[in-house]
Amino acid sequence: MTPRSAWLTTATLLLAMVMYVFSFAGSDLVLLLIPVVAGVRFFAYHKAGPLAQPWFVAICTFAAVFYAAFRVLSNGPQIDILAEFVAVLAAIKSLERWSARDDLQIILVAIFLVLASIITSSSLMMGFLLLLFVPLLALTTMSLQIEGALRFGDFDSKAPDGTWNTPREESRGIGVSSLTGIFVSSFVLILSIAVVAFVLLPRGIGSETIGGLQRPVIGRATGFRSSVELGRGGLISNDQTIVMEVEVLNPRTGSSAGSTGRVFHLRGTALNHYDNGNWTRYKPKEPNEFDDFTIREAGTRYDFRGNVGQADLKQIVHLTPSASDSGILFTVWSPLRITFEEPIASEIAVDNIARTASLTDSKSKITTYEVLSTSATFQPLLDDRRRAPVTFENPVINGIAADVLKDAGVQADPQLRPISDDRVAAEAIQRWLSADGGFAYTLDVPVSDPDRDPIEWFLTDAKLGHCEYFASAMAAMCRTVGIRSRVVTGYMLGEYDTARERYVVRRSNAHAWVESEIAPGIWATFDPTPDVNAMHVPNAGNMRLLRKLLDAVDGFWLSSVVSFDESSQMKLLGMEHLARDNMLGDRQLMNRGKKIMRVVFLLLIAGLGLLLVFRWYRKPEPLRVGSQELKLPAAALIARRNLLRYWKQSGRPRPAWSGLVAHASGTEDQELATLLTATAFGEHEWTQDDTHRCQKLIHSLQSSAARPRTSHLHPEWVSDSH
Amino acid sequence: MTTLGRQLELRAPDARRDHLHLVAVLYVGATILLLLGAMSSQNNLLFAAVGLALATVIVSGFVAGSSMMGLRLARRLPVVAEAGASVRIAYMTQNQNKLMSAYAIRITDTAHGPAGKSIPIRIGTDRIPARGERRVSATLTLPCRGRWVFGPSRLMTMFPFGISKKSMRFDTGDALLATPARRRLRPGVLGQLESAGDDGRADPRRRGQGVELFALRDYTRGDPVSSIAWRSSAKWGKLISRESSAPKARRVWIVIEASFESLHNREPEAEAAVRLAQAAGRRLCEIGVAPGLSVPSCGVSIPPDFTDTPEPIWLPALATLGDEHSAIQSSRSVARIDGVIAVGPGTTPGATIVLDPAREEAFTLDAEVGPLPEDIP
Repeated sequence: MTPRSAWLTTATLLLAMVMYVFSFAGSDLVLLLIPVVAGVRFFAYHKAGPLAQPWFVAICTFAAVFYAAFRVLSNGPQIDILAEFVAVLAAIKSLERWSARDDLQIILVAIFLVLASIITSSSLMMGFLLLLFVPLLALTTMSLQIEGALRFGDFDSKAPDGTWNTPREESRGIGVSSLTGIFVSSFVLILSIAVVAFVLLPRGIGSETIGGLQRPVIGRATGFRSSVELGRGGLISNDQTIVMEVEVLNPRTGSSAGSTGRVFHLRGTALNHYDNGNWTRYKPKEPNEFDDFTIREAGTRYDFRGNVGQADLKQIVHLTPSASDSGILFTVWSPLRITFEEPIASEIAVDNIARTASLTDSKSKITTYEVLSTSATFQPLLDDRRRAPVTFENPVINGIAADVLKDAGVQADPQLRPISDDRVAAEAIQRWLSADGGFAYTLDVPVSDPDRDPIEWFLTDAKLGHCEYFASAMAAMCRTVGIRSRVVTGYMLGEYDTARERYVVRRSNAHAWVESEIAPGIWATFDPTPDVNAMHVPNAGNMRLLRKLLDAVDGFWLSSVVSFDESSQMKLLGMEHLARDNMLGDRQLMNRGKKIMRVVFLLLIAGLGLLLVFRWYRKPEPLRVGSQELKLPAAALIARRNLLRYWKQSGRPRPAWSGLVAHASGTEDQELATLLTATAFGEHEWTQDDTHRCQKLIHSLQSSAARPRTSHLHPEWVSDSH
Repeated sequence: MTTLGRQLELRAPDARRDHLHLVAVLYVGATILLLLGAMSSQNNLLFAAVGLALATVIVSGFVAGSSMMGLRLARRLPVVAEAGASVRIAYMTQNQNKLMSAYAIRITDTAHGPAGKSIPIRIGTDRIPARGERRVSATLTLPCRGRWVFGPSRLMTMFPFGISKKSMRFDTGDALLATPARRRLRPGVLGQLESAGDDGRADPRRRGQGVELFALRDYTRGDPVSSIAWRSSAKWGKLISRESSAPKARRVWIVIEASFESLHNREPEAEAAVRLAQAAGRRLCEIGVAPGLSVPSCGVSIPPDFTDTPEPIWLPALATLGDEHSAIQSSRSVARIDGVIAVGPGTTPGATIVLDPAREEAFTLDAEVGPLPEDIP
């Protein structure tokens, strides 16, 4: 009869494997093993003997070891190889006859798989599965303890002939219902303490010194950023916080130009400088490098170059308190005029080539501004104009881009390609990335190979990423074939509120796309991210509400758990509030708090270490007779402990109720026992000579114990202390 | 405390201990590694795992300690035990905690026997409910005769997660005497001693507790009513009592010719001699012959005496032969000896019968293994 703990163990292992599959999306091996393990363990429990012969199990084990070794030698030591190896071992072990001790090994495998999973992924699903796994693991270990107690003595206290301490009958253990009370109370207690520990464990300590052990995998919420950093792994989660509302109007009629299903790119920053995975806004060092980069004085209005009369879109941007404080002024391409509701105190930094603007003082608060834009992106070209030179030194990306253009029938060499084909080339690259190239969109990106360019890694190996990867890849590919391109970050306007005739913009609508110069001086917008509209335009119907709810939970998970960092910790502990009261700077107080946390943490570690040392080398227990404590010097206590240990090792441990002298049988232990007893009862004054004498006696006893004894005892009846 | 508890004298623990065991050390080590990993990666899920690991340690210690607070233990040993036969040791555990049940309780005990032999006893129970009791029993076979002392016993738990290991020690020193394994002597082995009652050398009749009539006498106060001879009383006109004769009284010495060392060490040949001596003693008791025991090497000399039991009176002495302080010298003199059974090589002068332990199988029938003593009612 199979005990309940065995079923619980199987459930724990399967859940751990599911977690692993969710975290390592490409782990087909473990996915395949889930039904195999479930089936094998099911049949193993219902079959008296093992499912497979020992030689078959041995062959499978050797094969698994060799395969794992081969993979390690080929790819280097990686956690997924090890995790898959232990999962395979767990499956192979299930083929053998089940025993209670196997369950402990299975539990260890499950814990390892879960650790491997949470190292890799921090998604909401992982959190949810972790929340399932922890109580299941607790229940399983409780059940295993019960099972272990019922089977206590089956293995180690049975005589070789099995004649005594008869094995107990197979037991199913007590029902899970009997454990309900203790399980619930324990779990609630664990969860409460774990939350406190999670909040108090200091963040940011040690990452600089031991950070090399594991590359950081940090989650973050979606949101606008004025730069792009590729190569960082981790989860990006949807944050449903509303950052702004945008009215898109026809400037001539004043009617709304927006509608459900119509999407606008709200530009924030144009990033034109790339360096090793980072796109930044490049400030020209020389005045002539770009046409224009100016700082304008504060005022209520700023006009870009161009004819305002050509404006065919008007946007009224209402920023919420949750909006980014980067000072970026978001506009739809291409802006002609920005008008502020009230005079602003900050100057305005304007890039007239990229046609972006931002406040130089990001702390300046604005709530509403108005933008006039023109949607015209293409103008007739003059054939005698030549495109501006552009380079992107990466032969791999260049080769890929050339192949793509070759397949599209476009000349890749900019010297040979007519300017009029630049738009076709850009569209071909966009189409290849969004549809034909086999790329997939994900918010859970693995860490890129540190030795390679992240864009190259994305294009050749991963083929998996979010909008920044797609935009970066297109911009890079365009540049390698001579098309000037830049990555633009901003928001997608897709969620149209028909009642209020405005777009609702959430943090999750943050997006990155590409602007390419398809003709000299004429820039067009390209969005290579697959299914971008589907991501930013909410579905109609009942599922919409559910999705919003899930996104909200996801956002909470991300902001409260995954992205919990030093600043969140200080904020939660109220230290920011103290900072304001004490007129201390945030940074100063953060540093102070960090130091305090560091000291507390080090004290905790030191205390734990001292406790362990103390427990390990604990003092001999004081000698008691009844409630009276006998005063023995430390040397005598040690001698007494050694004497008791000698007796135990000799196979005749002293019963607790027997005196030392009465139990002694030889000359030396008799002398030692007499000396100790006389000292304990005050009949003898302990001296240094006694210490030496005791040491000699103990040494003599231990030497005699170490000599091979000609024991007449039958070996099976000697004490287990042998 | 229940009636059963009073019977068994449930004890409070004499000492408590918090064990630092291998699993706990490994767990702490793994938690530290986990913490290093979390600090290294700044992965918050790893920090959460560290928090869970720390919380598990705390809760494990708290639950294990709390559940052990009100436990009491009593050990129940059987009245008799026999070497080589099964014996059941019962443990009664009681939980005086009003709220918290105790789970996965493991009981360890040790039976310390003669010549340094010891038997570990390990048994467990799944749950002792709050304000409840649970009885468990272990069945074991004592390998040799002698005085077996049990204890100290220990209650231990690693519940709920196997990290914290707490135990309580009970210094209870119950002892159990294991008699030699019983053998039945083949008929006729004792030869003329088995039929000595008819050889004319028996004592003349005398007063005693036998069944045959010895004499009639006047009734005296205190005589049992059943002893009144009613017909004679009617005939004599006064109450007449019957007096029984004593059983045929014969005395035989059984001498064990084994050295003290061999008896002390429970060597096989010495043990065979002890078993033969016991079988011979029982046979003599069955046929109404009083057996005495003499073991010169141990200083044991117990003269023949008559008992109402089918076992010789020196059975306990036989059980502890070879142990220290096992010497017994009776000052009682014996008037006449009807025979001497030498168990050994036959060096005893004047031995009537010599039983060689090496031929034990030839002298005895199959072993008589008694039924398992009843468990605690």
